[in-house]
Amino acid sequence: MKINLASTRLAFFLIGLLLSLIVISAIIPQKELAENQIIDWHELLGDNYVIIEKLKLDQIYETPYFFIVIGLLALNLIFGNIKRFKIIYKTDKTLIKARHIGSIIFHLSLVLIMVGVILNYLYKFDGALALIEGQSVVDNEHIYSHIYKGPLFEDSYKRFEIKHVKFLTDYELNNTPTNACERSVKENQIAREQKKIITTNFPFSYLGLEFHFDQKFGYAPELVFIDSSNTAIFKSFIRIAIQEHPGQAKHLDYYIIPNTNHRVTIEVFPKNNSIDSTLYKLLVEKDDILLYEDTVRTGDTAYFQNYKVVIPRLRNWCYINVVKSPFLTLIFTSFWLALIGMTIGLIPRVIGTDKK
Amino acid sequence: MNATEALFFWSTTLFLAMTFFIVLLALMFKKENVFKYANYSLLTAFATLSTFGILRWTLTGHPPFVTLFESMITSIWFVLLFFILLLKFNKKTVLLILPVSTITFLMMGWASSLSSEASELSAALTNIWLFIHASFATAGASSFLIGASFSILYLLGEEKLKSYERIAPKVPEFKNLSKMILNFLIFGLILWGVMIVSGAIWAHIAWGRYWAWDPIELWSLISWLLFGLVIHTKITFKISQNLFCKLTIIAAATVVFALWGVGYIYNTIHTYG
Repeated sequence: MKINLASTRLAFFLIGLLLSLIVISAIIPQKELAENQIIDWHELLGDNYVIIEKLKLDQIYETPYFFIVIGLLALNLIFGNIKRFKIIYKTDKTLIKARHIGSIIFHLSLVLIMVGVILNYLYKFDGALALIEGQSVVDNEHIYSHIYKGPLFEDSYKRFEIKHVKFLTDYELNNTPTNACERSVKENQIAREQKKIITTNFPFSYLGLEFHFDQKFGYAPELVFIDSSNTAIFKSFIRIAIQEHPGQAKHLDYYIIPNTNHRVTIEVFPKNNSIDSTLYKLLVEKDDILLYEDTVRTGDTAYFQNYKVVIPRLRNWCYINVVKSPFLTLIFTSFWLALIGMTIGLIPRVIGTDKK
Repeated sequence: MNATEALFFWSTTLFLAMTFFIVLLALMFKKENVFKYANYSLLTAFATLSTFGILRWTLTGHPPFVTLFESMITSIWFVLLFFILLLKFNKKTVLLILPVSTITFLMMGWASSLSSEASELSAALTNIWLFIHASFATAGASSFLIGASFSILYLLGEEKLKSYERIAPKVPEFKNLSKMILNFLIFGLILWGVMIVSGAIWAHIAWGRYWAWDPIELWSLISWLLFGLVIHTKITFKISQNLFCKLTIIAAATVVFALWGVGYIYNTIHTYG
């Protein structure tokens, strides 16, 4: 069978294929996207799980065949449009109307979008890091709680040092519904420092990277663990993760005290960001035996056996997305080109000024 | 919804129902001069809905796009706006009031079943992009819905409609009708495209990711691609108008799902989830 790479039928087939892949991804929860939604496919589907695993149906957007379909569609659009334009051009140049020009701009910008998307996928960097107020880190792979590097991303960009100076709440920012992270980003080694307030919708660019504050923030109480001889054997700010399952406690996490192996579970009940009225549900266990369970306030001491636990201070932490999308300008420009092409190509058809 | 808002909301619903029945009665009793009352009634519904929207905007302090309820109201407003503009330029469309008033009436019903409580704007939404992104989403959906509602009328069949002596003189030229359907789809495709593009730009500004395969993103891309295919079946393959209308209705269903249905099934970062 001879396949004509320029045919519209092939384009229909490829778009249909693309659509089916997207619909499958809408039905089967995707690994990368649903981090909190862990599904036991073995239990749900039995041996049919193999199909999902082999075809990687639970991570379609990272499979080669997804990009192959996009690539083929791009080729098809290039050949198809050039061929169509050539035919009209050869037969009679005066037959070329606005809608042909618009159509070609539109379809070729679709190609540019696809090229941009693939290149961006290959070269991008995307990391999310959580920082507690006062904490500072030097950029390396281990500081990110979520990291994605494109297969061709070169790790040769300049390293930076980032410090979370202060978390500003709505109340501190003129009562507008904006939380913000005040960050100091420092290029490593050279003491070139930039102190910036990063707010939602107002990212900060530095060293070719973008720093976004994406509204995910939580609490970090300071946990002091004191033994019988009144020495603090553990003293640190603990980042309480955000639980995203609906109906569950939102700020709940546990921490295992080194050496003594006590497991301390803390649930934070923040009250209007006022530290004095913030409550903590404290649970201390050791070897599955419950030693302490009660609600405490900031500064209260909890006694159990020969130990004491105090939460003297409370800080905020927040996520910062560190992003590098090198082909974004290409993608966005082609987006607008596509819209312009669509308007030039289709509006004459609507208002009827482009009669044959 | 407070009492004043409720007054405007329910009077809109009432006027839409009235529009439908006036057209029906005028057809039944062959009262030519009654048709103009249907127009008045539709215009009144548009006016009351506009007032409702303005009231809501002033009360909540943000444009009515934020909750599922508000987005639906805005879409109904756009359906009425586009249709009234069409009526202004195309007088022979009286019969088309029937599908449009039906669809808007049904949407008012759906909206009335939703929580109408105003919600606070989250930080990511306090942005000009909300206005651009959401207005194009609702306008695009409205355009597709008008196309779909005309398609339903088309599927009833020209000959069948003309066989009823009382309706016959009011039946629009079906050739014009099919052109109108195509035009609304084209218009919708452009608006929906702007919505996707502005959404991607906004997502990049807010989260650093221009595309995250969030369920609403995913379904709106599906419906955009579907409408692209449907339009091509007409322009390139010249399929029969009947099949085209059926495909339009199917594609419009994905738009309805993308904009208002996704939240019932998925967790989404779009606020009205």
